Amino acid sequence: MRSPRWKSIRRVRLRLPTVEIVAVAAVATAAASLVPWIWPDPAAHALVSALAGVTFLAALLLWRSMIRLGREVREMRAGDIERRITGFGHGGRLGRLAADINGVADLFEAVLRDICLSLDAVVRGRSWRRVVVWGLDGMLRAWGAWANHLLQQADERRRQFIGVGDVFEREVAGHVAEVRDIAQRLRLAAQQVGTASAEVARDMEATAAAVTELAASVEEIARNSAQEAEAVAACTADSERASATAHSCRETTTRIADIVETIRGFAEETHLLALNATIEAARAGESGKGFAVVAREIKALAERSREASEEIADHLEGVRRAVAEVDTIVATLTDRMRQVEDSAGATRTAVEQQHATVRELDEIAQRVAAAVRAVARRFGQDAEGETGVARLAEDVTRRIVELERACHGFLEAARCERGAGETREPRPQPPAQAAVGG
Amino acid sequence: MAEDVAGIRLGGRERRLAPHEIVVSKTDPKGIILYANDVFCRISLFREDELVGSPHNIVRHPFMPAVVFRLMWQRLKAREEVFAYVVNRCRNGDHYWVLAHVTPTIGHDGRIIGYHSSRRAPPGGIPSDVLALYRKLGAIEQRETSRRRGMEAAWPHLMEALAPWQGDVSAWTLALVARMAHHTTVPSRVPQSEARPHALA
Repeated sequence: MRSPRWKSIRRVRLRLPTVEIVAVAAVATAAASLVPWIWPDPAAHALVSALAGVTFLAALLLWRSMIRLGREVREMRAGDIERRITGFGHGGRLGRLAADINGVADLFEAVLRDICLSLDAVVRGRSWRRVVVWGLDGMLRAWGAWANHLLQQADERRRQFIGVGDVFEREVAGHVAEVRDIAQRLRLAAQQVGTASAEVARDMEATAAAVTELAASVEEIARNSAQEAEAVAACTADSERASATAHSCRETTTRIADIVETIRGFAEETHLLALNATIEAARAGESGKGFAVVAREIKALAERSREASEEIADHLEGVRRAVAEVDTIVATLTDRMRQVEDSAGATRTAVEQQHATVRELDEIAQRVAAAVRAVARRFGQDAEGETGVARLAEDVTRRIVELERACHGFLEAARCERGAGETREPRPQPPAQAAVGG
Repeated sequence: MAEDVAGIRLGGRERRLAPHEIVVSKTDPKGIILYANDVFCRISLFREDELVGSPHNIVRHPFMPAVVFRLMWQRLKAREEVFAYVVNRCRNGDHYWVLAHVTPTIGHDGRIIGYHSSRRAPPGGIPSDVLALYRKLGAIEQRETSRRRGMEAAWPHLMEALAPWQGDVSAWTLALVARMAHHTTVPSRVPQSEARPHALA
């Protein structure tokens, strides 16, 4: 640090009105040197001339300074608003002029930086940023106020947008939550349906198998009943034949009874003849004794024939009764067989109907099982395809979450909440690299 | 060099800027002053040739907590502008309050090629919040043995104070400016003698 004494000297020197002093001195000494006759002493004239030379040199230096100042100002005028004129100090006319020019540039640069950085801040979401117009005067203040007015408007628009965005987000959030809830419930329901339909499919498969078995057994029954019907028909035919046989048997018996009656008649007549022969033999005496024996024999034979024919008649009666009984039994049997046949026919028809029904049932059961299996595949959690409803519901949930995130991200980006301070456009820079000229 | 932090005393008196005056300085990326305007020279009582080439902390007043400058540099290096209430010292030990607006100057290649600082009289005076915070931070820093440890001790307190503004000292400062400016009419070139007194004790 320099001494205070030196400082005060410097300050005084800086405050000298350099230009005026140099100008007055130059004019005075030049005028004085041009009129040597007023200087009686040549030494005084030489002194004045020397002074005139010094002031001329000073004027030359001042001229050069003016030229440099002019060059600096032209550089600033060319747009280099960050340039400053240095090396003139702050005292004297030139220094004051340079300081004033610098002051103008200072003001403009400060306000320009303030305005640009306000814009930058507001663009990046710092809506509170305004140009500090306090202390600015005149049009500069008006321009700053105008910038603030525009920033205010931009901020209001942004707020409006945010308000709309908030409403949008709230509504979307509501819908999204609802859809997500629905998708969740759908997924659960699909899982339940899948599980249940898988169970039903299993049951239906079991049912179909049972129905198939039933169909097979019904078919067996039908086949058996057909055989039975055939057997019954054969039985009926047999019993009818038996009935006919019994009938012919009865006729034969009747005919045999007739023949036996005839034979008995013959025996009666033979007996009468034998009796007559005996009588005749008795009449003939001794010569008829042999004949009497024969007549007796014949009489005995006739007797035995009669007895035999009576016995035959008795037996025939038994046979006839038996045949009648057989006939009755066969008739009953035939009747019953016919009844059986009738009922067997009805049974067969019923069984056939049953068979057809069961076959239809079987087909239906197969179809239902296939359909239920397809439903289970569609709804099941373990559906191998990506078309399972549960998976679709999960997909919907995922996409809804993505949608929500996208909306949120969009609104965040729109509000400049995210990314503020992260990305920043480089500020346009003047071509001059140096911040300070000179 | 007397350092009475509580009373902001170095040399004693406060100097004031006129409302329309703007103190401007430009520095290189290291904080070496390249340009100081006439207002800067007049208010700080330094000569231009004393300021140019010196580090900017030549005008740093001991009342200012070092941690505030640390935050300021941190934000400047992150290419953020900084608004802050700053008290600076003059050559003779006097002080003057400013509302500083420091901005980085970014070159073609995207690197910071310098800093620009424009400072003006604080609108409506110094908010009591600022004084209280700076006093508190200064006292914390004074308690520590080294400057660095002092800053580390004071940092959480500064962050706590700036928490509502997410650590953005500019937001805090501009909020205070808005509050202070609300209490006063925006002046239009008033004489320096009519400038409102600052809220200093």
